[in-house]
Amino acid sequence: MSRRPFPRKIVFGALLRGRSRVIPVFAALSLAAALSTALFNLYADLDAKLHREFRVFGPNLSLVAKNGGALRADTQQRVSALLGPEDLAVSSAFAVALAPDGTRVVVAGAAPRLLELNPSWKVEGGTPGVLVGHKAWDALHLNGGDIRLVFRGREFVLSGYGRLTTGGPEDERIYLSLASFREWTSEPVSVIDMRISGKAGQVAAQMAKLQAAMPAVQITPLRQVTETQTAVFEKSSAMLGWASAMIVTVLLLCAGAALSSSVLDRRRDFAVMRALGASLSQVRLLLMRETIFVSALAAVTGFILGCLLAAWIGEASFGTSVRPRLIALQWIFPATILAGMLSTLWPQMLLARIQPAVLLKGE
Amino acid sequence: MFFRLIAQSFLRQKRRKLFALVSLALGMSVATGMLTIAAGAGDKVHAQLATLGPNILVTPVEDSLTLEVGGVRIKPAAENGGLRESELPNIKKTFWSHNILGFTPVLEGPVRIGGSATQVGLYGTYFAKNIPTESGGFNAGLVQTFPGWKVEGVWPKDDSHDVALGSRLAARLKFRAGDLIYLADKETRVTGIVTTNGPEDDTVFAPLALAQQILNSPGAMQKVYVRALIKPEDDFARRDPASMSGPVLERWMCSPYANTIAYQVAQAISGSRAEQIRAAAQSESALLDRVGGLMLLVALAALAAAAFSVASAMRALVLERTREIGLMRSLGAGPVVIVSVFAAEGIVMALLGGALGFAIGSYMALRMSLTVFASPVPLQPMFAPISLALALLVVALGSLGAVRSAMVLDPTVVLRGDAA
Repeated sequence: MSRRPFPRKIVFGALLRGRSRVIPVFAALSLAAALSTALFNLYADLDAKLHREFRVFGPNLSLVAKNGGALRADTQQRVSALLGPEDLAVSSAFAVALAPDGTRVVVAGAAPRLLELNPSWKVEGGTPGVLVGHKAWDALHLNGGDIRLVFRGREFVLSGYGRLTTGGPEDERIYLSLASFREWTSEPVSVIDMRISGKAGQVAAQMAKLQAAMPAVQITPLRQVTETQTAVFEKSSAMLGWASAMIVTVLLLCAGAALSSSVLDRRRDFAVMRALGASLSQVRLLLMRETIFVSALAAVTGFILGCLLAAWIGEASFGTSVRPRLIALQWIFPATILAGMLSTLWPQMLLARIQPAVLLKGE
Repeated sequence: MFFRLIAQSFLRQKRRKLFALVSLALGMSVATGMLTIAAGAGDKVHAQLATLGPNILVTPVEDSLTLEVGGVRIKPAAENGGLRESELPNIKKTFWSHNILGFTPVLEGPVRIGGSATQVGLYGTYFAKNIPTESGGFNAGLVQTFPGWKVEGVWPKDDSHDVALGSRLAARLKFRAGDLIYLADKETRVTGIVTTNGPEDDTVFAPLALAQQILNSPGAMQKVYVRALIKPEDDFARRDPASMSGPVLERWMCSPYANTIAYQVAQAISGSRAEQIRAAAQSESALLDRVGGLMLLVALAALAAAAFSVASAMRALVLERTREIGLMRSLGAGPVVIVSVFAAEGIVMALLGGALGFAIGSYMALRMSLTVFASPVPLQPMFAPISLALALLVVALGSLGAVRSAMVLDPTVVLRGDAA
């Protein structure tokens, strides 16, 4: 008897005629592939999503001159040249001005992207670039009208200002555009606040790079934002990993159970094949080929469903969808086929126990 | 007769029943484990976010402004402190006292150090002071409110004259933990070096009582930092309480927004105003919402996968007993009897499997939590009835459909073995 494997017609014929037996296996493997794809896509996008949320916290690095004085005129330019595309740096200068009633107030001049650097700040009304912290507003008894400020004998008329609320020291300051501030006070830039994206290690590396390029400045981290972001990312991704492992384990057991049922249902068919001269290895190969075909189909179906599921979960959790990663298919596909083949281990043992003569006699 | 049938089914088909039970228990353990983790994930993530510091600031309602440039304080707003320390325990008497996780008072001012005319910033505060409250004591201080601040050495005791130095100040003056220094002509011991990554790194940290003595401001404080458990802000949260009344105001007050808690804290301390520190409050509440939501959706996906697995396994098990169903029908059993037999078996297995699944799932959640968060997640007893109910549902979904399919077959065909 030839040891050639069963022709494709027999394999596909068995699958088509036994659809009701194949569907539970296909469904279990598709679900495993879909959930694995979804969790992988979520994991891959999680850092970016968390970074977007942590941006609300504002700058994470501050740059000042080591001697406490003014920064060089080209410092902002040099910093911007060294930063990445996702990073942001905003220069500020400060002065203490006098209001008409003698109240002293800190006035800050800041570059245009100040509000982009601090998305949590609440601004009500006014023209862009002219802000009065709400405590300064109350202390100066402002009502939206013009107010004259004096710095070293030079006057500045503040008008069209908005009300700023931060919950921090900014609430006691007045903010102007850097250009207007410098024109009025001639005070130089003294601080550059930066938001550097990335994990703790990446931020530290960027900090070291900036410090090495500009030894006359001092760069200090602000708060524990980066460490906290890294910790939240690690915990969340660990949870996704655990969930993945649990879900896939349960589904693989389900696929194994379904395959075992399928083998038990078809034991008379296998017994007939054996009685007609097919060897055990040929029958096993038939089962493997069926399973590989079903697994391959399940992998592709699961991948598509998983991408859709990840997009939906991303939208529901973070308000933005998760970008599907085609690279996931590179390991979802072989992993699903491997999972399908592993599911056949017990059914293969059942096949070996089939005694054709006994079975065909009806015992 | 009926109960004998059920009992014999369990006794004679042990292996099959055991397989069903294991499938059920495994499925329910995954569902319970993931739901328990999802329920506790919020608190764990919140503990991570605690390092971001306080989210509410209480300051005096005063007209004067702090003049602070680049972390250097030129003039504090209230030089003698505008708030009373004696009113601090009132914070834990507000409606949202259980949401108040920590608070710390602050009194700042200049102090001479080292016996010279050099002045540095003095940061008077609580470190871990026990405040008596109606429900027992409450530990207030930096340790609870600024958990991200690191100390090399130990924090000074609140009833001592010891101090800690900010890391930049210590480096500049070349002091270490254990050294003795002169603070306003008094000899004090440095117990630790503090790193805050903020302007506080240039200050001397002293117990509030010592700072009040040095600054000649008995019983005074300039501000209070509060750390509270809050929910994300929405349009309702942003409404001005002065513009609301009656049930609307009550609903606003009963929602743990940062604004609501700040409003009530301000009422607890006379002459104060309180507001959310927007950077911390906004990012924290949004993050909790997002990460908590993500965990819940993943838990629901796990639940769906577990339910599918169990239902499939139950269906397969019932289909294996097609001959048994055919035999019962040929002996005269009606549909009600047959369904009752399988339903009774299913209920027994669901209760056993659900209970076992709940126990295993809770243990799995505990191990997972210890591995990921290094702390246990609380057990959720309410998930026990949910696990049982879910087990009953998936057993019903898996079994009854299969019984119905088996019953439409001709008993003679089934018994002859020709049924596909």
